[in-house]
Amino acid sequence: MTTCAEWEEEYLESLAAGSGPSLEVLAHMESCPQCHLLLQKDRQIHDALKEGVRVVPPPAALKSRVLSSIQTSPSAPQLHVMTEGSSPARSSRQLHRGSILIARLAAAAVILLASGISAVNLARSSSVTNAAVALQLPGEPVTYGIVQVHPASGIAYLANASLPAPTPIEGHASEYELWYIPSGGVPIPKGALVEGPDGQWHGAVRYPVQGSGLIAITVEPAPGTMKPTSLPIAAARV
Amino acid sequence: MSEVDVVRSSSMADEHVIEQAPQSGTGELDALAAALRDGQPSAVEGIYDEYGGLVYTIALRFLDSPERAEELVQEVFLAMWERRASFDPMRGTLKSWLCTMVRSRALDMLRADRRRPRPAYSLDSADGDRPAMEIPDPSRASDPAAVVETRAVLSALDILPDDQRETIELMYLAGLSHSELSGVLGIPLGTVKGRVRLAFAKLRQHLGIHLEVES
Ligand SMILES: [Zn+2]
Repeated sequence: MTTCAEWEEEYLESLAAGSGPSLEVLAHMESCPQCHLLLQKDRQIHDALKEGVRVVPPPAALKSRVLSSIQTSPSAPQLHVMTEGSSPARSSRQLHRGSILIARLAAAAVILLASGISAVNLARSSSVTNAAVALQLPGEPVTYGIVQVHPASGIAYLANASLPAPTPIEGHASEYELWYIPSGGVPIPKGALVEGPDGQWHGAVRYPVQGSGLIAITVEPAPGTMKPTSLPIAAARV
Repeated sequence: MSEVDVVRSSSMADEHVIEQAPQSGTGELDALAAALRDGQPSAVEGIYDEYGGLVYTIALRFLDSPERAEELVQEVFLAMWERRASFDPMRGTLKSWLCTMVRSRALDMLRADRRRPRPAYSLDSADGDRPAMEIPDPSRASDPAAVVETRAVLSALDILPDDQRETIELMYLAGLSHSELSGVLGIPLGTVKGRVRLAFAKLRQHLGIHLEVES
């Protein structure tokens, strides 16, 4: 048996779909004074929301910034999907593209950190830049993610990081932790990577626009630590 | 169901004349989506013209900062371009895809800020001079009574819990159906229905004095 709450849900769904209520809903409203009154009020609220909830026009200059970032973006979206399951031929082609991208965008050599992992050196350009970043878990093959840097606002966004679920540490849950390490300073925790529905990991770091430093990822016991307890598995210089 | 059926079925029929689907030009949007998948950069401009404001508004609602919202819009359109091959029109519309991307990235940014005070998901003006949602001015409206009611409803959104408010705002900002909302929010359809009903119940209760229905 359909309850009044279910009739109301059906009515609200039809309003959202812009299709108008079904005959069944209308028949119920005729026979149920409570729903008759209630759904009339729902309709008034719906009309007010439809009228009042409006898109805010973005600043006019934003459009040209969006379009120019598309024009300067690499035309190789498959660079982002580098997984252990990729065929060797495809992987090497993607690696090659990744190398070209890093070389072009970084305008600097890939450096080695004390831990032996490579750090992407991102150009201090004023526009949004993308680069592949190597992810090296101990004893695992190198995988890649994309780090996208927004120098104007100081946001680095790591996307499409092909990583396995973090291995438990001494039987406890762990997570991939993001850090910002200011030049000559101590690491500042910036939250954990999040696994997307596609199984890829992503996260964002805000860093000071003035100054330089490193963004790094380590594996830490959940729910995070205030100081890194392991060597980084990836790093990018911003 | 035809319009005639509705008229015969209820004394309230004149309030329930079948509405046209809000989206016109779906053929044009399909063509833009196809051009995007083909890697034509010109498609991005058309898609931005259609959905740039929507993506910006959603970003603004989450991040509470016009500057960060602008950055996020750039990021989302760049991600759309770079991941164009993964867009599957059989699984959802371009609009739903963009809504999912902006929401998920905004949440990432908020999570990255989790060790500092998190800005509320709030109806309040983001920076004082650019409201996150435009509140209509009754003095400049042709139907001031309707505007007063609209203002009351918009203000009442503030009383909703965050999950209900987000659902209602996405529903009306983007014109999403309940099943599209289920995809964008990553929750079951039944949960969307329940959230919307609870939100309307709270709004009805809160607005009781404003919405006296003539009997
Ligand atoms: Zn009833």
